[in-house]
Amino acid sequence: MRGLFRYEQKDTFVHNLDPRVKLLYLIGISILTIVFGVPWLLILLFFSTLPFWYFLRPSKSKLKSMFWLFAILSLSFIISQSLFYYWADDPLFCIIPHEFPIIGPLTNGVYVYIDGAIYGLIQSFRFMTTISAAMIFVSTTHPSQLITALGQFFNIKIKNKQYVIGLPYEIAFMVSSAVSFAPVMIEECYGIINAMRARGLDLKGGIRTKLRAIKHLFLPLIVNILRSGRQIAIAADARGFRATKNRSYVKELKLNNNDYVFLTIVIIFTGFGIYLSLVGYGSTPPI
Amino acid sequence: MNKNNKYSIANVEHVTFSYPQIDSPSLTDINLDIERGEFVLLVGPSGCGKSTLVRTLNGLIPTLSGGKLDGRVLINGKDIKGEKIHKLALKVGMVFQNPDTQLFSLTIGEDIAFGPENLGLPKQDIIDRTDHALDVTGLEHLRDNFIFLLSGGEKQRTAIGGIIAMDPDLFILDEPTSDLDPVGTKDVLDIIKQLNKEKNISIILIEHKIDEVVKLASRVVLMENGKITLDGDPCEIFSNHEDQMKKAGIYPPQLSEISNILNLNNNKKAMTYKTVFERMMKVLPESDNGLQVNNIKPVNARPHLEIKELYHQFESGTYGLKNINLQINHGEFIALIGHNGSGKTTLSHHLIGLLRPTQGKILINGTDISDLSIPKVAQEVGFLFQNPDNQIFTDRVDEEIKFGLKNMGLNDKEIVKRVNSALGMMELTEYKNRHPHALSRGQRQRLAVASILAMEPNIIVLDEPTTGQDRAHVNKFLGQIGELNKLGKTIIFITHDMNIAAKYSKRMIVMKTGEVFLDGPTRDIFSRTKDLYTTHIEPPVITRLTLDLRKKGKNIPVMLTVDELRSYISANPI
Repeated sequence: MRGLFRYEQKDTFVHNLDPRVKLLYLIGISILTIVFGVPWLLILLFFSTLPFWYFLRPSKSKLKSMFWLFAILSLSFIISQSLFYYWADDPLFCIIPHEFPIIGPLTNGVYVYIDGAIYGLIQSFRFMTTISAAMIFVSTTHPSQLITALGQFFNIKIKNKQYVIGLPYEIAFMVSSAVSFAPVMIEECYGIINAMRARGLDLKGGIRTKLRAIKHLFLPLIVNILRSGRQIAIAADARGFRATKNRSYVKELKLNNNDYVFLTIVIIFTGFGIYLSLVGYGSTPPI
Repeated sequence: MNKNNKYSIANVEHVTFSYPQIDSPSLTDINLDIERGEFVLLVGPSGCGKSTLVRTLNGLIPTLSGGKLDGRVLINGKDIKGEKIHKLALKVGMVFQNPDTQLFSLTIGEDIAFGPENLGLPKQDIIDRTDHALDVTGLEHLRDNFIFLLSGGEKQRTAIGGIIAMDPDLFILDEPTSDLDPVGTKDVLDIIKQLNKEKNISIILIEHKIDEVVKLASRVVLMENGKITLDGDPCEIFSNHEDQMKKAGIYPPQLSEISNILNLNNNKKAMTYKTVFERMMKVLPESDNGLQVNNIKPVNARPHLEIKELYHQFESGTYGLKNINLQINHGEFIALIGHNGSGKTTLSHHLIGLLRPTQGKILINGTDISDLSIPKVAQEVGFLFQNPDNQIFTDRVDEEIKFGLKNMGLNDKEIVKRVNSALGMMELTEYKNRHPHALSRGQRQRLAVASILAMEPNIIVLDEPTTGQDRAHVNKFLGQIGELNKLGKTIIFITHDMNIAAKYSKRMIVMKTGEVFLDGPTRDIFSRTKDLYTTHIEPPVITRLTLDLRKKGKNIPVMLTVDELRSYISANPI
């Protein structure tokens, strides 16, 4: 499951798209899942995310976990909605009748509604679509790429002077160095846990042993984080971090042809979707 | 190169420095002038003030550290008091030990540009500087590669590239190779050499791997207790002050030690391989005797550890270990070598159950350990990890040793007995109420060993226990491990340091691409230079010398250490 939302280095056209364009795509899809109200549109929207998976060629184990994630998601929506759907006319059958002592009067009876199941299935498409799009985004965009992109969301050159609009550089730097340091930290955690096990600590016990292990993980981890944090600060200072307010950027994020094509598609797609939702295919009828 | 050539690059004048809240000064009346183009090797025992001294040159001390600094530090003839650190960064660049804490960007190219970007330089200038740095560090072909996928050596080269892009006149490197394997070390040292020789950049290098760096240095400075006690030409220092250096924990390069034994003149030529070789050819008497070969077969050759047809497949599908078959007897002292990624660590983790075989089995005293939990195996196999700080979990020295014993479920009386004996054995009794992190690194390492020893394992596995320590500490530490070996414990240690492997191990196992490549008595393995060459492993200098002499028809034994040469000469006087 852990691998589902992890960045994977590959050379596909999706990887090479500008992170900002991909972020807009994710936002566009999310908006459409909310504004669409008609089942077949929602289903269509979900299928529109699938071609990307063809390009990404995920591993078998990833496909398997994706399938299970989606299956569990739709099932839980179908079950919960079939039980608690209030707008249905007739229940399919009854689990706990109204007359059942204590629970009956409390719940007003528990019935299974077929309409509810269908509604649940449609709802689940809303979530699956967003999750699918989010996974495409995350597995093709490295976190620090995204942060750099946010740092210079608009990078405009007027009269040979660069104007950068976006997240303040200090914040972007902080987040991106934290992100790039995370794998080192995780590695260190494993190292510490291994050392604890080598000293006879059994992690197979109940919650108490686990808590004890976490308690002991804490000291070495904090010591390491503080030491590393200090070293990072020194190294950054030694390379002129915050030396001047007018920092220069070598890599100007520039949209290339693919990006423009994709961006245009995203805009038309999202715009058309919003239009459809306004003319009667939306989740709430237009006033 | 371009600025104020009439001044020295750096002058330290009567500098005394104390860290905040510490009474005794860390530097006492230091005077040091660094000239343009000099290559200074700065050595001294741990805690002598080397790192403190170099940090005064780029203002990290006292600007970031706090504390009190008396005296003056001049860079290019200008007092740096009150100067901003990022301004100084253009004159004095600094590379640290751990590459992971010096890199900030996603790709190599971006990271090298990080410094110049911070300075707000014009774009074309930054591109030129980045290209130049990539060229010097040999990383052009990796420009767009992600940093998190690089090896340690490549990461450290990127860090050096980032400093090259700042175009400083003085380069300070504080143990840049301590975390690297031999291949990474060589790559990094080659770059430093090139910077000094071709670009005439001044270098100050702090390094424990004296053998590798002494050829590069034009000057050696020894520090002890916050003072400079020796300063001069490397050859002169190592030949005339060998005893003082050794006392300070700095072992001279083998070539220099050998030339001292052979009474070669202390000129620059005396330290080349060829001169020493010719001298040995001429003066060394031939004999079959005079070497106490300690390849004694263990008296009771009972198998302690047996590995049978062991395979390990990683999640990614690649095999980390392929068909490993080994028998290790009680009381053996084994060095496990091979370069990074050869499977040493993967194999060692199987011995305690941190990793489980994909196929095959491991027997300890005849019992298959695949069904045993790690805590059970840990009672027979003690595992010492590389970084002591990752294996200290409590806030008191004696509590730390108790940690494992409590996990074993021993009674209080037994625990107290074992704690005291482990403290005594590792010379930590006087610190037993201290906080572990208030100890020095060497002491913390001994604490980690004591914690393992108290569990009374009969097999001790050590994963690179000697990195980043001076030779005196290494010798003392492995001396203690040797004592345990004499008590009958089986020792397996992973190392990249061939001098240490030669001195302590009796058997060597060389791994290559997940397989056992060579296995046998240390002397035999080191004699197979051609095979070793394919794994980038080079025997110690004395071993290469004696092997080459034998090739030329000289009848002398293969020697593993300089001590063996001494005992050979005392039995067969020149």
